[in-house]
Amino acid sequence: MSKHYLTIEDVNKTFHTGGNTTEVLKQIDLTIDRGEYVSIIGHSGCGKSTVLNIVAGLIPATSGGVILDGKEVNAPGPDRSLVFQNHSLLPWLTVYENVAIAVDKTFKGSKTAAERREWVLKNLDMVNMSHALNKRPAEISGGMKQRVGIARALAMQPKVLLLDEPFGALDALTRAHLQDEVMRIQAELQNTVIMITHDVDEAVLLSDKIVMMTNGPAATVGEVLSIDLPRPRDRIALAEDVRYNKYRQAVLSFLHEKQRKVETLQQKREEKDAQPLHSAQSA
Amino acid sequence: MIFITAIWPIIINTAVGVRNIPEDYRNVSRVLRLNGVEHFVKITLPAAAPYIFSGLRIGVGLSWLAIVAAEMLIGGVGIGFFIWDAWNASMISDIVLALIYVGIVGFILDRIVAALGKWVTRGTTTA
Repeated sequence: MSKHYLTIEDVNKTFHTGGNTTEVLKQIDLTIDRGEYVSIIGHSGCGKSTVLNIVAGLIPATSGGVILDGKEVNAPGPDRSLVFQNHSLLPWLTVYENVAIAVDKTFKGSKTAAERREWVLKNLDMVNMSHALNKRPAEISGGMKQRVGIARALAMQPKVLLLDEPFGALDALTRAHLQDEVMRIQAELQNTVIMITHDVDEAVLLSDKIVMMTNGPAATVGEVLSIDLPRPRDRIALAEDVRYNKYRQAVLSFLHEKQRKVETLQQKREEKDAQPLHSAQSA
Repeated sequence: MIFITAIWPIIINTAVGVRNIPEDYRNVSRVLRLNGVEHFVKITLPAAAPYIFSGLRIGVGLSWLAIVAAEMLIGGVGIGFFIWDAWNASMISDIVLALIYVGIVGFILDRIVAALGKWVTRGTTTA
């Protein structure tokens, strides 16, 4: 038994479609300590989301398992709350009700109605959304929706917070703003967080540890980079920090040199030249 | 008979609506561990509501049509009988008047159901 808070042990995942078998994940091993902020980065299609869904319990692993705080994960539950890329708020409920539905379900036995109401308001206050309690998701901006999604996830008091490209659908300014907000909340609550991202800057800025995944099929953990930067971090000050840039460079080199997704035009041209003309045409 | 005419578009539309619930909502429900009843009341019904109401609108139109036709056959009462009677008496202007009346009532019924649907599914359709 490991003493880590969250252990992903030898997880494999294969999908069967018709007669075909696709090996998506191969031997994913990962350990995460309590209060750690871990980012998973990799090219699209490498199975990042699959890893997160397995941790969330939404899809079962083909073999291997996930252990959270001494218990095996085999079904979705409120101790692992998920923030989706496209906010996935229920559009027929107001901002308040969207958070309340999670709180009421999670704390039905342990809190009174007044305490639950208080708790909903407190969580919405934490993401600065107190002004829009009675608005519906259609009436607020994309950044605001994502805040409410984060509030809903935090309100469940999860053991681990799972973020699936939480800022992916936002513009750069809103994204930076929300990143700061998430850093502030994480510093305050000391949550354990797993975040999936495409964004190198985001990964380096927010994480304690970056997990870089190799390309699929049969993707696995390529490298794990520990980010040893003091908190609180400031994006403007860090832009000139030597260590920050070194980490950035390390991730970039992994993604663009060791695990290049698409061959460059130059390579393509050379390949084409090497082939006889007729086969190039038939291809 | 009128019921049988109207029920099919409602059933089919509801089925389509339930099938079209986005995967995200179902995932939310699973993470929250909603049980069967809660899932139905809080996710399935509101998510399918716009479809149910478009089924209702078609259903109302069809049943109005069926009512008028039934009155023509049964005779004795109603706008359908009035048209049939006017036809037999060769009162063309009465028929035209009755047709306009049938059209207006059908339109108003449709509007009522649409307004009701809009009120019930407020928020959902624009998201």
